[in-house]
Amino acid sequence: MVAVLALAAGVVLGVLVEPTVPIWLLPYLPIAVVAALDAVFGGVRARLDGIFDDRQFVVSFISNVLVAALIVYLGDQLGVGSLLSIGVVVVFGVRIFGNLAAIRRHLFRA
Amino acid sequence: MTEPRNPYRPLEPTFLTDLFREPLDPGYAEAAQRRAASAAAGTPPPRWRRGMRAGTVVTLVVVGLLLAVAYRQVVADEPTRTQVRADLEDQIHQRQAETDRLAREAETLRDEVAQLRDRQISDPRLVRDLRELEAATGLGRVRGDGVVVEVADGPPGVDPKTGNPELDPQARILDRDLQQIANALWAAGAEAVAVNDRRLTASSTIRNASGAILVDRQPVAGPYRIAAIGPDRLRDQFAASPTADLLRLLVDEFGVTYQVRSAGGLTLPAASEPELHHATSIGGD
Repeated sequence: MVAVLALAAGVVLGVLVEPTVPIWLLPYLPIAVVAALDAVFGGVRARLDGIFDDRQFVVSFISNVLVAALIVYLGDQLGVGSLLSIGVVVVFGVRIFGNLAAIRRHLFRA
Repeated sequence: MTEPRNPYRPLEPTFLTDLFREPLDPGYAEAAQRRAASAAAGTPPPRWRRGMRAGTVVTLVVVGLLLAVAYRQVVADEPTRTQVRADLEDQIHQRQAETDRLAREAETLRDEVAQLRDRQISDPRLVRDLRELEAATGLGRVRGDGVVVEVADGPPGVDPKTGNPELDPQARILDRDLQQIANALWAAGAEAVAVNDRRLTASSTIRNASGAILVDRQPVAGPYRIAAIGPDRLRDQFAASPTADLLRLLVDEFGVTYQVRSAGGLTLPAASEPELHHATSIGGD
């Protein structure tokens, strides 16, 4: 419950404050969103499995975002553009789907 | 795998397989195990656990913020993109209007120059020779009988996936086709040729630039109308040329439009003033 409220508070904050994203940060935004979604769905799934752990959640979120940002940065510097971020999207995408399937099984028993 | 999994080497060779089989971060299971072990041993949960709860809340606030910001960014990008596109279109139209105006101005000035020059030259025979040369090189407007070749892209097909009308690339008239038509007309004895009212000279180019056809670096759009002034046999000679055969094939195969007819009293405009590439003025008088 607290978690949902915190998430909602973040969204409301983002809408109200209307922060402007500096231009150099823009390429990292989509990847950061995917990484954050992965951490959130992982957390929800762990919660439903009854093994949620606060430290694991915080650490996985921070490391996800940092690694994703690092890979985007590396791809930029190496001149391969968005190719490296495809790897990030694939890994996170697979995990998000898998965790969503587990959540779905928990919630609907199907 | 018979060996116990090494928690510090999570990237086994079967990393991807594991990823599909067990998408949850293995850290959660390990943390649960540790907790169960410490509970079994009777040790109280460490003090930092309470602090980490606040960490989770902060993280979730950040995630929410991130989602909101990303959404706003995507929404905010869209109008900018359309705006930029509209601005570019405006600029293109403005420049085109400007170019047309300047071209008209150049034409009147050229007429003026020609008149002044004719007045300076006392010998009418020289004036006539000059006029003839100008007509032949494309520098002067000409009038006469000839043929008009009209070609246009074939009818659009229907994209099987989206259902949108889509032009088969093979039914498209290419720069090559226009080049061949122009060359065939010259070969058939044409004295002046113009594509969509752009007069061709000896140094004219018909080229392709990402789908658009440029005649002397000016874009022309279909349907294409190639007018040529020449002798009476021009039409028959052109119709007998390999180019005409090719066009008829294109009509049968891809449904492009192709029509050639004799036309009287054609007026072809003068080509734009040729640029000097190698020659330089020596100045003085």
